[in-house]
Amino acid sequence: MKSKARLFARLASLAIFLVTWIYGVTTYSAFAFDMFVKPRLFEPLNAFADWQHAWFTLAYALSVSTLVGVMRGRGGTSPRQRVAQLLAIAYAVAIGAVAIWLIGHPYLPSLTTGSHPLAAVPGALLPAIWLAVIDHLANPATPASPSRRANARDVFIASLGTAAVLSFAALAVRAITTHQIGGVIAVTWAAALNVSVFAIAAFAFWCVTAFASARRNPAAWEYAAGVLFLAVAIEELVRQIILPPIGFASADRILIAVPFGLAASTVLSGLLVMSGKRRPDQGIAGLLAITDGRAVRAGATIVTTLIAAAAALYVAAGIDWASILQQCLAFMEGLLVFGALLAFRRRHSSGAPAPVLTMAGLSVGAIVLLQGLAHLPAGRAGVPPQAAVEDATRSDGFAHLVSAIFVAQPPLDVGFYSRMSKLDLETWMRSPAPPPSLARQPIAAAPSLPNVFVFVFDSLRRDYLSTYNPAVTFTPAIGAWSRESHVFENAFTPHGGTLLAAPAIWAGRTMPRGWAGAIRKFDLMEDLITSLKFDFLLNDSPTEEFLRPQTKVTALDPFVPRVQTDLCQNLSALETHLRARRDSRPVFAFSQPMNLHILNTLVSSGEPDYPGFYAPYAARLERMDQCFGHFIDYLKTSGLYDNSIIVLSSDHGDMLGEDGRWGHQAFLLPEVVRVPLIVRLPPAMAATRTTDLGRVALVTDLAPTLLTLLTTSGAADDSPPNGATLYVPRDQSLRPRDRDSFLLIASYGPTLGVLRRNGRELYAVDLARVREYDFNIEPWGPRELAPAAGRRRVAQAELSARVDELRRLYDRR
Amino acid sequence: MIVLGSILTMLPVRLHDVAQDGSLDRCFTAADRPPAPGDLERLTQCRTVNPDDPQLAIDAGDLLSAAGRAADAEAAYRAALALSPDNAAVRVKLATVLRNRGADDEARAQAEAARRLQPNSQAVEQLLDAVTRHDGR
Repeated sequence: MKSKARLFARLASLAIFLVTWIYGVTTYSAFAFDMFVKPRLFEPLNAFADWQHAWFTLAYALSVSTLVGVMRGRGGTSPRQRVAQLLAIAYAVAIGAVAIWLIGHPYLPSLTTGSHPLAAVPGALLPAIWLAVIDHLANPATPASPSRRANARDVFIASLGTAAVLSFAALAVRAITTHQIGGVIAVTWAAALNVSVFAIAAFAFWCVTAFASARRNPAAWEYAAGVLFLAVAIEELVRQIILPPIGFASADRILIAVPFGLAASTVLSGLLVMSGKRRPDQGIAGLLAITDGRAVRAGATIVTTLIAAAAALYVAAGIDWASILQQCLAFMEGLLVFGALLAFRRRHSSGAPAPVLTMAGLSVGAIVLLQGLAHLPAGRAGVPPQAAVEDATRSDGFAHLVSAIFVAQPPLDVGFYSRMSKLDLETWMRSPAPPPSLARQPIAAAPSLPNVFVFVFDSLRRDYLSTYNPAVTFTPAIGAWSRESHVFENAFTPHGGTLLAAPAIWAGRTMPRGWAGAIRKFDLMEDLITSLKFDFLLNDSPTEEFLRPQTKVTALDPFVPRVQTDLCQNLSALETHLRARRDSRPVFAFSQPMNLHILNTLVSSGEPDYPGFYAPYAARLERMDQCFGHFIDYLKTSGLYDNSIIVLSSDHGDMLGEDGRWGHQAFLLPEVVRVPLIVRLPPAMAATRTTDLGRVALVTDLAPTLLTLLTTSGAADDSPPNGATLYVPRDQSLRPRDRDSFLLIASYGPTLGVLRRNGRELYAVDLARVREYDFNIEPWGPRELAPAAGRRRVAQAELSARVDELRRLYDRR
Repeated sequence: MIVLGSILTMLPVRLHDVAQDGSLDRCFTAADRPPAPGDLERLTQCRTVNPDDPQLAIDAGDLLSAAGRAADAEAAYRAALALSPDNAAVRVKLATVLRNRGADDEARAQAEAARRLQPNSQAVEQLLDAVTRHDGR
């Protein structure tokens, strides 16, 4: 078999084993299974599982085809090669038996939430490791030639060079994309972390080479150490970066990451050996050097790597779970740049001895730096220095990766974290059942019904509206309309992310994870629409998913992919509908346009400057404002305005680069949970009611508010986690919420929070990143605090109580 | 590199001094329930421990007002409003205290601010009327 075809067949079979392992990993975690597999988010992965027996048979056939030569003993007759031959034959028999068994007993489709399938994890890696062992035994090393091995000095210089290249590249990317290079402290910290990790790596290499030099085959020892280094690096990446955000407990992380790191490193080495790329006499450099070291080729490799990494990081920033992908990209970038620089240094090596004392000194300094951050300034008053460093390095991908893995965070209440993680995972595993108290209640219509227009701008931040921020000049129409409306100054969403926020708005209460099976039984807004026989118009596909099949709805933008849902198009369709209709029923229109979603705002398209604001976001909002203004004008000229309830709000806010964060993903930070909420009532309705614009309001209050405005019914229970009406008759007062606390739940990650003191205190724990945030939301803006012992304990107790309360409410088994 | 790093991240280094006793916790929960008449001293102490909590100031203001210490109550309500200026209920309470001591102009300003936060509220309108009548306008 020709070598290229053999390599292709091997890579294809390894890919199939890898996908089997990935699927197994997703079934290992209830969170990952319910998040990705159950809703068939990645359809090809589900399709792969359905046909795994066929794929496995194909992988078996391809991999055995690469072993034919070894099985026939063509490689040689040395004892190692005889063992390789026996192992290859055993592989063909054993894995063949598994393939036959799988045809009769499909395995992956049988896995479900929290299966802990050892046959897939780590079992699916076994064939790959087996093949790698055969490759190493069947291809004996050539005699060592010390002159070709990497010199410790070269490794040291390549290490420092890599740190410098990565730091300068991050600066350049930041300067190009944001026209800023960042604060001196942030840049210094990023560079220090990059140098630190490479200094420690170089010193560790020197220790290995010093040990290997005294052995019989130094290059082999050095090479083995290189394989082990790489295995540990991959293991750390998987264990500390990839697995935590998708809900894996620490013991599971080790069980998954350690075999994977070993398998990945061994398989890579096996492939190099099999394809003849590895020169065993090159020691560690043979594993990592990716060019022949000529200046032009090394330079081209580095430049290509940096450009490709910058482009990939830019694209990845718009994807949910971006942090995982970004860290993986940064890891690959660092490895490739180091490999190219090492190859260059080896080719141009002077052979001078390594500066051992400098290396040792730098390493000790790096260790002190990484562990002593608490006593050093990090540029963020009140924020724990370790957290500030993590934030400061966010625009330097590699430094951020280093900080995420190495920088020790403040000690946390382990018991609290493990309990919350467990509760969070359990709620994902369960399909909650609504209690009788949430069951549908009879709805009696008020004497006359107004029209209702609800606009939930996906990802709209309150500080981008002139209503809330006088520095904003690009939303004049919304600003003018706000002056005729009630502006709720203290509004929040209980959920970062649409997945939970959309059903919560419709149900009028905080949602548990795994809500999909339950919401149809207590969808308050839908009950109102159907009971009161509204002419119902809708644009929003996540909402459509949980509507009852019998509910009649007119689609505002049929066939438009959800991510492209446009407010202007929605309003045009709505206006056309209103002009054309002969129906006497009042209208209930709900639009959740996606113009401002991070998937649409991340890429700049030549917008003008909006000083102090993120231009792609502000430009889109300015266009939305114009369309909104035209629609309000239409309502006024058509006589509908004073007989309509009009609501403008958001399901959540967004991070627009603050501390290097983008999107809403797993964040429960002030920029994400504070939302605009503006309501305009028909004047006749407003005249008989009062509200409290300073009281904390939640988007889950919308449905109960409409219930009291449109019917003579009242909410059965208006205490948290249920929403409550925002209006009462003018001779009454709203129940104060100063002493209530509200549970916040991120939609796309294990992050929980609690809002206290009328929305003034925000405490959140990111269980995946093991970070906590404590904010005072003050009149002049949010202020992050270093979590203090007493306040933290109280917030944690409150958070636990609210989570228990939610479980008690929904878990009826 | 990574081996050393792994060891480092496992070191039980305490970088953050966290008080282990819960003696101060009560000041972070002191305003979770409406205060009892005898709570004034406790609330006063807690306001020094937890000065960012507007509810402590409001509760202290209520107890001070009930005890007839109008000047102290006024100071407490002003402190609460500095932390939470959108609190209409505190503006109403402050307006009442101000009206009682004859500061009608400021009482009216506070009542009007409360009306902006609670538009159309009968209680606020009545207060505004009372302040206006008291002022003789």
